[in-house]
Formats: sequence, structure tokens, C-alpha cells
Amino acid sequence: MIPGLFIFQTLAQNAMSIGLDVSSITTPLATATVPLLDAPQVDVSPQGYVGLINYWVVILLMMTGFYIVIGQRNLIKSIIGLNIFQTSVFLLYITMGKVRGGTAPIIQGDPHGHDHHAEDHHGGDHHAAADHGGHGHAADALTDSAGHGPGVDPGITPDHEIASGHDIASGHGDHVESVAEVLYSNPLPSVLMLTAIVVGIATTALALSLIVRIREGYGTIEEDEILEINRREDIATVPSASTGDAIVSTTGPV
Amino acid sequence: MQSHFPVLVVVIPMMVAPAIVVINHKTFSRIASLVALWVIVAITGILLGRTAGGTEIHYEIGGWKPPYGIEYVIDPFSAFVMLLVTVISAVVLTGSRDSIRRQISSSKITLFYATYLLCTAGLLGMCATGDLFNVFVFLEISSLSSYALIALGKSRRAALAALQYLIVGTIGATFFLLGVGLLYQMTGTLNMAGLAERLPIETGSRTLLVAFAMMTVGLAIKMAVFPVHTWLPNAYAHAPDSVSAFMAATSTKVSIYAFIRLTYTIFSGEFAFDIMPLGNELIFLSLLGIYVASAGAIFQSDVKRALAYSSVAQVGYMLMGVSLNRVDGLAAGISHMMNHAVIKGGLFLAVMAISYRIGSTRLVDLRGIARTMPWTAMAMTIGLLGLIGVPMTAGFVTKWMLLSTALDLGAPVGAGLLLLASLLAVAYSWRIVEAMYFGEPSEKVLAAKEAPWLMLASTWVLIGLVILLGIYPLSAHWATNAALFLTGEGS
Repeated sequence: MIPGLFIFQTLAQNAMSIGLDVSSITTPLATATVPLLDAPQVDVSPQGYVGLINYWVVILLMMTGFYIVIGQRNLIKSIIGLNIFQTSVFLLYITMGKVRGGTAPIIQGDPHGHDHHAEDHHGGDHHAAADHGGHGHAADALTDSAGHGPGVDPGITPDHEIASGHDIASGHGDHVESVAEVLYSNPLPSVLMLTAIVVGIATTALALSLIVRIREGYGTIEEDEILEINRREDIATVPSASTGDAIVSTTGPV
Repeated sequence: MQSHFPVLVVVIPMMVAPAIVVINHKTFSRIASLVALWVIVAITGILLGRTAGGTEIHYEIGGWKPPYGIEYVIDPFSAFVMLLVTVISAVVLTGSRDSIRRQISSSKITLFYATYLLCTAGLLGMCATGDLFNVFVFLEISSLSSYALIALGKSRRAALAALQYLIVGTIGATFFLLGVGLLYQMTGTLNMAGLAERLPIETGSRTLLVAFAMMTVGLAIKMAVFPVHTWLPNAYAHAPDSVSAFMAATSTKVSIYAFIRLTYTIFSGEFAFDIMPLGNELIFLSLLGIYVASAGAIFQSDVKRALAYSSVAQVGYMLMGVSLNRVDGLAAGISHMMNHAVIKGGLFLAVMAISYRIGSTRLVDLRGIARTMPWTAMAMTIGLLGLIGVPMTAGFVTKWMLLSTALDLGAPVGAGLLLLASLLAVAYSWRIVEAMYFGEPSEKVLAAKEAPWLMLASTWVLIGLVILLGIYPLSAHWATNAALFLTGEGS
């Protein structure tokens, strides 16, 4: 777990130093996340770590999966471990795309804020802050950041309020005026993970079909037994042209 | 039309592949793949010519501007590696017609061609793209298709080798993905140029170090750097001969390309080798890899396996050049990518010819093959001389470049170690040459004929290039261009 803890600390510092996740679709990507690397206010209190539960889960999954891949001698179990390992990365990406208080990144109504239906629609929405016609700034009650005045991105909670947050917010303050202020989660990491999931499925399918072939050839899916068969074959120096014969199917859970 | 060249290189093989599967006709699949591959050889040739002066060609996919859309960037370095991949891919496929018919069961031939094209497309995509996540996607496209290609080998060990490679390769790719994620979290962009601009390199923060370390480990697995090379000998030894020839010449090179991109374009030489003390580690691992893998090659009883071990050793030479963090060292590493690709491609094609005639690649079965297959044996010998680094061959050019860099750096010990390593190459090469020329031929060998002309011609195209690049060091010239461009000293 030691490498896991190291990676976790890194993730935690990184997440805290950029205010967890402050990019949203209303901000151009170019100014979305300005990293603050010195991370002067890294919260090492227990609450700080509990707040990063997703990152804990990422590390837990990653190390579990990695251990299964290395430790298991059963080929199918290794592949399952590989899947768990990949899943941890999916979770990492999705976590970084989440904006606190942000809603699903689907543009509702007129994006320029002249459509009052949009306001109605957002009336009961606890997760998004709506702003129309330049009425100052309606910050989300959940994030409790109204005190920062116009232009402050409500995605930043006091816990993680750091200099970079102000930079980001003021950087696009004037931009916000013209766009209906709905806070969206960053869709890009989710989209990237859709691709990665497809890749993962392809890998799993290919791996399982290879295991079927190995089972046909060797009669077992236990790596130890397969390697033992190979070793005996090497000692006998019989050309390995003939496949699938002479090997008695040893027991192995399939 | 001409403005679409950067994307056509990737799109053509990627589109032809499914067409082949749908039409499902053997002759058509062969002709279509060959046409597609030779067309992209021409296109990459033109691209290399256009980028010669250090110009970059930018192509926005679908007209979306870079921070939002994916951008393809062709510069002297990527054009160089793309030319290498396309030429090897086309020549190997041209020459291996008979071998494919023999080794691939006839129901899978169309699928073989489609997978081969996909693998090529993936490798080219890794070179062409200017988007880091896209690199991961293409890495996986080429990896998945190479797992499938390796598993097409007839012996049951091929499936096992493919699965071992799949597990290790997926771990590598996932590490790479993790690193990409951290970089995205820090900068909010995936575009390589954007990353290079925005990453606070000089702070050397822990996130940067971890991201870089993860991506390096991920790519190191794909490059078959010494301690994580174990997938390679099995994969090359049990794959069909045509696949071994293609992969041995290209796949590790493209991963090295990605590593150089990562190091010199996105991060910087200073970050990788000063802030992060990667240089010493990599040089140590390269040297260790050269020695251990060369020594391993001496004790193999199978020619393909011996050549696979030698590939691991040769990756050490390339990586050593890259990790010296100097223009001339980088140029040596890059030029060895092409020189080794040509040498190994030619050698594996010669092995394919022998295996086609006598049905075995074991050293004992090769005895006296020079009597019945003189041209193939001669090609093999020249290739092995290239591996050793004898003057007038391509291998000499890069070893000379590496040696002079090492001496320039004031590291005579390193230079001596490099020279000494060549002796190991002599040892494993000599075993093969001795068996071919001085062994007592078996009946099977005496009954063998010279290889089919197409196979022989393709072998000699690559072996001819070995000599050509040794006399007229074109690859060194291109590589120097690329190295100057990468370090920003060219313009």
C-alpha cells in the first residue's frame, strides 16, 4: 500500500491545490484550471481526507486490481483484476470532471439568457445557480459563496478557497455577464472515459477469447500448470507443432 | 486534397480495414491492403519532404480549433517515424504473401489483413496526433490489434504469449492514461503544445513528477526497456513470421517516439534529466539491458527468439542516445530507430524465408542452409553484421554517433562499455552464421529451394537499405534534423 499512499497524497495535494474541480462549461477551457502548485493550504486534517473519499476509492481500487493481476495465477482472475485496475482510472477522471454544485452539461433554453423559460426551469433546481439580465450574482446556496460578489465562481467552497480560485473567477468575470450562469460539470473527462471504457471492453473481450484458446490448447487456465507443461515440453525438445494432444486436462476452476 | 494529407495517412488504412472485412475476399483483401499501404508510403514521403526545413504542418480534425478539437501535427520527427512505419509495413506485407498463406488458416486471412492495417493505422496515429489522449487511443488500437496478430500464430504458445503481452501492455497503457489524467487536471488541456506552454515545469511539483513517472513507466513497458521487457521474446517468437517482422521493426520504435515526444516536446530535457534524475537511471537500465539481453540472445536455441532478445538490447542503444540529453545523442537514438528497424525487418524477413522452406526456425534445423538458400543466408549475414555495427552498414553509423557523443561527454568508460557490448552481438550473430554456413545440412535442408522471389526481393530491399544507409547516412541526416527541431536549436 505504500506506493498507493504516495499516489494518494499526490492526488490529494493536486486536487486541493486547484480547488478540487473548478472547471465548468461556462468558462473557456483555456482559463478553466490555473494550477497553484505550492499548495500552501493543503488540508491535512481528517475532514480534508474524508472529503476526498473518491480519491481514496481510486487508490483502493487501483491497488486491489494491481495486486490481483500480479498475485493471481488463474488467468480469468487476472483479467478481472485488470478490469478493476482500469476502473480506478475511470473514477479518477470522472471525479476531476465534477464541479461542486454543477449540473449535467446540457444547455437548457437559450444560452444567451433572454429566454425566461430557462429561469422557470431552474427555479427548483438546487444544484445550479441561474443568473439573468445582469442581476448581480445568484450563487448557489449550497456552496455558500455569495459573499464573494459578482464574478466569483460558486464552484469554490470556503474549504478549498485558495488564491487560484479567485484568479479563475476574475479571469472570466466579464464573460459571465453575457451567458446564462448555470454551473455545469466538465463533460470532457466523462467523454474521455467513454472512450477508455470501450477500450477496456475490447481488451477484456480479447483477453477472454485468448483464454478460451489457451484452455483448448493446454486444458487448464492456471498459469503455473501451463508453464509447467511448457517446461516439460522444452525438456523433451519435441517440436511444438502438435497442439491439444497428450495433455490430460488437469483440474482447474473455469 | 493535399491539405488533408496528415489525416489521410491514418484514415486510409483505418477505412480500408473494415471494407476488407465486409467484402471478405482473399485476393481483394491483399490487393486493397497493399494499395493502401503503398499510397500512404507516398504520402508520408511527401510529408517528410515538406517538413524538411523544420516546418510544422497543423491539421484540425473536423475544423475544430485546437484547445477544443483534436489537432494533428506533422513535424520533421513525426514524419521521419511515420515514413519508417509505412515503409516497413508495406515492404513486409508485400514480401510475406506466401508465408501468410502457409501460416494463417484460410478462414482468417481477410481478418489478418484488416488487423494488420489497423495496427499500422494505430502506430501512425500515435505519430501524427498532437493530442495526448489521442495518443492513448491510438496506442490501444495498435496494441489490441498486435495482441490479435500475435495470437494468430499456430502454436498454442502464441495465445499464451499474446495474453501475457495483453496483461502487461494494458497495465502500461493504464499507467499512461493515469499520467494523462494528472496532466489534464493541472492544465485543463490535452493538446501537446498547450500542455508544453502551461505546465509549470520549473517548479518540479510532485504532481508533475508523478505524472511524468507514470507515463514513463507505461511507455517503458511498451518500449520493452530492460526490466519490463519480458513480454517481447515470447511475443516475437510465437507470432506468425510476417507479424514478427512487422512488429520487431516498428512497434517498439513508435513507443520510443511517444517517449521522446513526452520528454522533449511536452516536458523538456531539463525537466526529465535535471529536475527528475531520469538520465542516469535510463542510461544504467539501457546498458544493463544491452548486456543482459545480448547475453540472453547467445543462449537461445531458436533464431526468432535470439533476434527478439537482440531487439531488447537494441532498444537499449536507442534509449541511451535519448537519455544523454544532448542534440547529438538524441540524433543517434533517433537514427538508430530507423537503422534498427531496417536491419531487424530484413533479418526477420530472411528468417521468414527460411521458415517457409524448412518449416522451422530452430538453430539446429538451420544447419547448412547456405548451401540451398545462398541469397537468404547472405541477406541474413549482412543483417547480422549491421546488428554488430560493422562499417558500411547502418548499424555502424549509429554506434559511431553514440560513441563520439559518449567521448565528447568525457565518458570513456561508457564508450568502452558500448564497444564491449558489440562483442556480445558478435557472439550471437556468429552462432547463427556458423550454423548456416558450416553446419552439416539435414535432408530437409538439402531438399529446400531458394525462397520465393517476392519474399527474397523484399528481404533484399531492406538489406539493401542497411548497406545504403551505412554508406550514405540518410537516416542520420533526417534524425539530426529531427533532433535539432526537438531541442529547438534548428531554427
